[in-house]
Amino acid sequence: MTTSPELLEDRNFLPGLAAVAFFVVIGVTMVAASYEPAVGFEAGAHITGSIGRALVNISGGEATIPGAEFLSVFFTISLVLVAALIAAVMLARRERESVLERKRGGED
Amino acid sequence: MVVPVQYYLLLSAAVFSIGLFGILTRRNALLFLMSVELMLNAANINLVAFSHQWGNITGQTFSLFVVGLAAAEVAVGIGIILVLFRNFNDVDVTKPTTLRW
Repeated sequence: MTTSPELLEDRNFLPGLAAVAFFVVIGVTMVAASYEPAVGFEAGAHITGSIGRALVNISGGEATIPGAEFLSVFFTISLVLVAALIAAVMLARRERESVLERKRGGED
Repeated sequence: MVVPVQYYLLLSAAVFSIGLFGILTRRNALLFLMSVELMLNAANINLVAFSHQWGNITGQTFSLFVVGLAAAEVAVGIGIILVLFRNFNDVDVTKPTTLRW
C-alpha cells in the first residue's frame, strides 16, 4: 500500500526519460529562437482593473490595457464549476441504505 | 531591467517536464493529480510571460480561467480517487486494471 511519497527502487524510470528528452528539445528550441523586445505595460497602467474590465466586457476607463472580451467564457466557466461541484459531492456521497430496507431486514 | 522572455519559457518548460515525469512514473493517484496541476501551472507561466511580451491583457485573463478549470478538474479527480479507495482500499493506480462485468 502506498502511504507516503517515497522513491521505489523496484520500478524502472525509463518512461521518465521521455520527459527529460522533451525538456531538452523544448529548452534548446526556446533558447535558440529570436524574440522581439518586450512591449510590456505602460508605467501607470491599471493591470488588475484591466483584467476585471476584460472579464465582464466593460470598455473604457483610464489607463486600460487592451485585451479580448471574456464575458461568454466567464459564463461558461461558472457552469463548469457548478457541474464540477455537483459531480464531486455525488462521487463522495456514501451509499445509505433506505429506511424501508432496514425495517424489512429487522422483521426477517 | 526587464527579464528576457526566454527565462520564463525555460522555467515553464522545466515545470511542465517535471509534471510530465510525475505522470509517467508516479503510482500514487494523489501524486498523479499533483503532477497534472504542475503541467497546468506551467501553461499559466507561459500565458502570463507572453501577456507581458505583447503588452496585451488577454494572456493574464485567460490564465485565470485555466486556474478555475484546474480547480474543477481536481474536485472531480479527488472524488474519483475517493471511490477508487472505497473499492480497492488503496490509491495505487496500477491496481484497477480491468472493468467489471
